[in-house]
Amino acid sequence: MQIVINALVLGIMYILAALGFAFIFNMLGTINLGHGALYMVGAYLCYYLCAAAGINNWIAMIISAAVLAVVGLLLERVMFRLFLDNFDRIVMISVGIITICQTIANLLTGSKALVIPSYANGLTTIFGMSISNERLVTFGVGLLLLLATLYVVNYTALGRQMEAVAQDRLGAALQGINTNRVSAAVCAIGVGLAAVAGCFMGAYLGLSSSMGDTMNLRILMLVMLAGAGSMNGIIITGTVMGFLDAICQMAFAGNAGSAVPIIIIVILLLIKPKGFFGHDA
Amino acid sequence: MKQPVLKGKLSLLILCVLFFVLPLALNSRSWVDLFITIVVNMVGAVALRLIVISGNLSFAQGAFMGVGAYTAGMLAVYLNVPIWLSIPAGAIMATIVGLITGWPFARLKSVYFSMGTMFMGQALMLMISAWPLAGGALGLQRIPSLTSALSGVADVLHLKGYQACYYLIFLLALFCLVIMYRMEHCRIGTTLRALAQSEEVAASIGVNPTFYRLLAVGTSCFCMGLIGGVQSHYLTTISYSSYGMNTTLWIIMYMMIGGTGKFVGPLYGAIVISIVQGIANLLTSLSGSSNNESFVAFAHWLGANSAYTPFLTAAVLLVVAYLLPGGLVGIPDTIRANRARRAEKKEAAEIAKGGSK
Amino acid sequence: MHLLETSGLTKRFGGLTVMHDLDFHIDEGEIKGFLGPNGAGKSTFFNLITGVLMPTSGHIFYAGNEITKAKPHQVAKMGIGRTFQLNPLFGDFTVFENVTAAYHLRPHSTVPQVFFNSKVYKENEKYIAESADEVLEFLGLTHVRNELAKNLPHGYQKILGVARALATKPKLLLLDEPLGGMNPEEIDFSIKAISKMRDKGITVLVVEHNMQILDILDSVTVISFGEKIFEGTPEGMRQDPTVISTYFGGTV
Repeated sequence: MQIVINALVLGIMYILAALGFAFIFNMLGTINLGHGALYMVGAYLCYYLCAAAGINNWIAMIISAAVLAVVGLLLERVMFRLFLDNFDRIVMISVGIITICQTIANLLTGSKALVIPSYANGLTTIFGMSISNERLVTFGVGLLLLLATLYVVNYTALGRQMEAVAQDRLGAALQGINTNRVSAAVCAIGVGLAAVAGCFMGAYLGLSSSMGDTMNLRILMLVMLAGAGSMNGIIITGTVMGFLDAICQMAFAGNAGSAVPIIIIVILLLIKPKGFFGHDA
Repeated sequence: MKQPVLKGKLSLLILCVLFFVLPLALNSRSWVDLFITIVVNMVGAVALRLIVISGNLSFAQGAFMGVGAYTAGMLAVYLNVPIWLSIPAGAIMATIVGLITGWPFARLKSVYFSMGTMFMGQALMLMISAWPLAGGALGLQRIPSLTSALSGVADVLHLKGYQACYYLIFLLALFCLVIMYRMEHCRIGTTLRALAQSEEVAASIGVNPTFYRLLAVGTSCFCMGLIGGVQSHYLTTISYSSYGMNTTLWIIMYMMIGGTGKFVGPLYGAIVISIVQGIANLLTSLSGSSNNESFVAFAHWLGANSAYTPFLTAAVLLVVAYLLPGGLVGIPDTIRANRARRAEKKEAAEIAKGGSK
Repeated sequence: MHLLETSGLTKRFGGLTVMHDLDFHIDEGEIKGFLGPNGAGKSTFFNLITGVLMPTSGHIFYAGNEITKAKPHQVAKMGIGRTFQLNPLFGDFTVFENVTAAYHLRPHSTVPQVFFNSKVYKENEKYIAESADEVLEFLGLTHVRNELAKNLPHGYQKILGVARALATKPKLLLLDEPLGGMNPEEIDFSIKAISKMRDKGITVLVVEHNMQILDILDSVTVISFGEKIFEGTPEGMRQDPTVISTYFGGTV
């Protein structure tokens, strides 16, 4: 039971963090290498708002998500819009941003163990099992945000415009869709969601300057296994990933816990490099 | 038409001589260490560029180097394989791993190749970290040292141990660089470049895209493995964390700051950025034997602030990304292009003015 | 035996049938037209032959060998050269480099030969440089030899595409709308060049909208919505009622 809860919490966080990356991959056909780094920045920002400024951690999370959403907007403006067909430039800028974020995180963390204060205390008993409220809250908020995102993607004008831009950027522009505005909105939402995931994971596993890399690896797995253009695929792979990680961390000690799921996924990807659920799988 | 070719070769020759003579002249371990770092980074950057020529960008270069280093190290530690065999074995292992990594993704669009290598690079290092034989989180220790293996040679040539190591690394690096230079400047290079511009057309003239992409990946990995293998024997202790995403990103930075347009670009990028990174260490160790107070103070100040040097590199990278599309070696071309554009604009403005009169 | 033959060639994209049960052949030494209105499936046909697309069913034979499942580079190796409708080029190469790059197969130097600068490779490269200049001369591109391909005017780019395909020394040349977007002089020149290819022993299959091409064709296949509606001589096609009603909209 504990494993199931852990798996669900991890899964939903992976999905939230991966959504922004997947949006950019599907819509713009390029990748945002710095997505993991921004996830980390969200967590650090939240921590320092709580610890240094003494703000309630829920409010800190909202501020952090809002700030990172603005960062996402800026990123679209100074990177994707300018260099959409020049992957080298995007890589250069992303690598620069990652280096800056990592260095700041290294300087701030040092050898300290930083943890975002818990969002909820106590235990709740469900079906005779006691589960920490923290996990429940994390899962609940995560699920809510995921459903909200799915609603936006499937049932709003923005979602339809996203689909149109993803299928044919020029065609969408000719139909009068402001493609730049759509990508900006998508970047903002995606990076904001990653920040929320960072805030929760910062309370769950603590902060470190390598948390961005760790999450980046998970994001890549989710998106690659799901394949291009598949939202449902990401939800499925995210859940599977969560279970794999939760089970393997329980079953194997130390680094093997993180290596076993990755070996499984390496094999899957070598078999099907385009993923399992994408439109050209 | 012929002159630029000669100029490019001349600068390569000067570089080669400098790297041969300077470590001999600067008779100190900290200098030689810096030179080793530069040489290793040069090979890394040039090897990455070979893949870039074919239109892909690999994010697993650090990991390929790690595969070479761990293979060489583990063969030597557990099977007592001599250095002369373990280093080439590392290179071959890295090539195999590189081909397996590259094979599924080289057939797809370049975005998939980037994502795939990024994932595989991190995955490889995670696997190594979880492998008890590879030393786990502590890293692989007590690798037979290159210095002692070369002590006989060093005595004969009247070199210090670390100098002998440097020259071996230098020779291996030169070997790699010559291979990659030759590859780029013959028909293979043309084919790779053609592939990067249009895979569709390249296939229509008979180029097997997967074969040529993998040729680039394989050669690149071979070089990374070779240099990683020799490095592991030099360092005697290696840790998986030094072959992770960070290393790969640094290699990308060397290459991109130097400029991907020319063979010398990554070389200069590696030299400049390695010096920027290593200067604090170098000065700190030099200041130990120095009597000049202001120099010592400066070295200490630099050492205390060395954690900030990545900001400098990142700033340079961003400047290159926005203002210098050809990288550092492309600066003359950029200036020329800008001047031409300005002249064109001026002309157009004058014509417009003349027309309105 | 026909040089190229397809039997029952069918291609579906999802529920959409773009090519239905097409039997087609071209004989050695012919210049054949492959005509049809927009969206009739002409470019799909080229992509099927050259292995860019895989047919849903049916077979393709080239010089007696089945090439249905061959990859694009294998098809090129067997001697089928092609141009593209949207005409992608190696834009950062000069015109000369574009053509020399196309000598990838004939003459072929193996990777070790190239790498070690062997005698074979040197001789091949010398031959390639001379032969490439001949191709440029033949297609009137000599005066733009050292220009970057991306800086050429559109008509020249189209001709360069043909030059590149010709440089692969094909037995069969597939030209996808070679006259598209050209001015009248360029059209006259290109038509003459295509008709001269017959003298070089090259079999040519042309997809084209421009009816001026009819003058040099030996035979014509007309398709509409993926089905063959006519096969015969250009004169016969001009008088065929089905062709007139579909292709010319019934007005001629």
